Amino acid sequence: MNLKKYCFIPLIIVLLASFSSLSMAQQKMKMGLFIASSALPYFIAKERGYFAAEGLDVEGIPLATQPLVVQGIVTGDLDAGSNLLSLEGANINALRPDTLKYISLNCQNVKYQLEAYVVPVNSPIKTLAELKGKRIMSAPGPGNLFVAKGVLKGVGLDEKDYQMQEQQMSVHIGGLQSGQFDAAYTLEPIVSMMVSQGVGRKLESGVIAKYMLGRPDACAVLGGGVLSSKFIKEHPQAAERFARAWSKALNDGNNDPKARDLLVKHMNTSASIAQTVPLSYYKMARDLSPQDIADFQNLIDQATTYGLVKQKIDAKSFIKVY
Amino acid sequence: MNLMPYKKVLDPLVPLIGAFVFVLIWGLCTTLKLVDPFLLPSPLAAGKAMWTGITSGTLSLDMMITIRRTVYAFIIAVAICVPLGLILGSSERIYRSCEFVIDFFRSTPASALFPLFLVILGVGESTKIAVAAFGAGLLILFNTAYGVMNARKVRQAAARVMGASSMKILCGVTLLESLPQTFVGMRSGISFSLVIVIVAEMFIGSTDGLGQRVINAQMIFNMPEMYATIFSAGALGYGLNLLFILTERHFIHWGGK
Repeated sequence: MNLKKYCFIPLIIVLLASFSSLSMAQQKMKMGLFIASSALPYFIAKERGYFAAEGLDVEGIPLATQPLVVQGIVTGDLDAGSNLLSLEGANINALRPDTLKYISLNCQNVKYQLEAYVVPVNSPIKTLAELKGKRIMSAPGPGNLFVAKGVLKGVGLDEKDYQMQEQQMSVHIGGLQSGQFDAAYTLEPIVSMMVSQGVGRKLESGVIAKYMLGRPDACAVLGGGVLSSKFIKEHPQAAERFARAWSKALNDGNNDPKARDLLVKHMNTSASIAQTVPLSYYKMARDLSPQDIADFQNLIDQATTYGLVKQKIDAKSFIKVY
Repeated sequence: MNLMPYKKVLDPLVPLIGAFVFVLIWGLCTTLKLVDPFLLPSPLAAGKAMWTGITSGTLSLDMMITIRRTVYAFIIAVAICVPLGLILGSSERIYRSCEFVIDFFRSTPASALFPLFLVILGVGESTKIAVAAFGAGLLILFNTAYGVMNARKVRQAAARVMGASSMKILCGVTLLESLPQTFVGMRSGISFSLVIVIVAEMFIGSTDGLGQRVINAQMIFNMPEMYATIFSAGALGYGLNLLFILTERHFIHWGGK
């Protein structure tokens, strides 16, 4: 009799464990990561347990280019993206409406400097206007070329006034050091590395806000966190939980210097510059001011005129507030 | 009923069957929406983009730039590696002494050497051409050397018996004997040059060329143009290969005999 009783105990334990694991089953998600400092919120949320606390099991999938993140979202392989370029997002929604929604946007400007024109440390060039007739390298891709040229247009230089060639970020330091280029339109952390290694000097940073949007403190939105529209429709509650976890991660990214340690661990940033390298300012969509949205729309409209975004699109149509 | 006349007319169309089936499967995939039509446009849309690219001149221009880089790389590779292959192949001992280096770099993806070439040659045009020449050169070198080493000894001995000098044997017998194998290397070399030039245009940074066109079309989701460019690159590779086969048949008619 006693023996039977003891046999039941393990059985009950196993059943209870099964039920409890069922009730705790986490929503699985796949998030496309473009490994750059702007992917920081994903690593914060993952390492600090913000996803797990909301019952989410988010797997980060590093992808080499931004279009691959979009492709993953279109095919349904990815549910989210940590730092998708805003113009890529605008373009895909213009071409294939309701593909994805931005739940957060990353602002960069004169205070949050992510992009800069850099010249060799001994260069006599003092202003952007002096780049007339110079050889300039730009960060790669049509989006970077668009802003690099847009900034120079803002200081009165036409495309005919300079020679611009896109180059992979990995060759920017060497290209400037060897004297093959007179200036570089480049991005962090390369800007900080150029300065700290004595290769280059910042000519001007935060240039997109100042010259393309007309105000140094404008919110130049070059990227943000996205959820696929399919995921939002099929898993509305999980999407809300995701947004809660994401919001905490953005807050840490903006306010907690210790979060920067993750740059060294996951984002190929050297420890010597990790604490000082500029980051963009992360904003959940709910925190965007009408001016921020107007700035975003302004940039998209310029990209549409340039031909980068295929057709006119309302920025609000692909922003989702949580 | 005699089918022979029809067979004769249809024979030249046989090589097109594979291409037709390929386009048919592609068309079915897009019609049945097995793949999102945004990511995989129909053959018609890609064909239309190709036609627009050709008539507007932008695709033709990029193609000409890629051909120019490929040809430069190929000429450099041939000019350096055919004579070097002849020297290495004429002495097995010399070849064996270099075999490790040749095989080592032949097994290393040329694209993985981009950073090294960038350090040496900088970010300009020369790097793209040099990496392609390097990759193609090793293929040509290897095949030329083996062509020389495997040249039929009987013919060389016959020339020697007839009193021919070593130089005459090398130029009049060994070189001709090695040419079929050298041409195999050159044919692989030019295809390889094209591949590396396109990869370099995609990833080293370029303002023109088919590789840059593919990556830019992908960045702005112009999928018909992306596929049009990919198929143009394929057609270019096929054309170069065909040109080599015809040249080989014309000039190396003694191959294998």
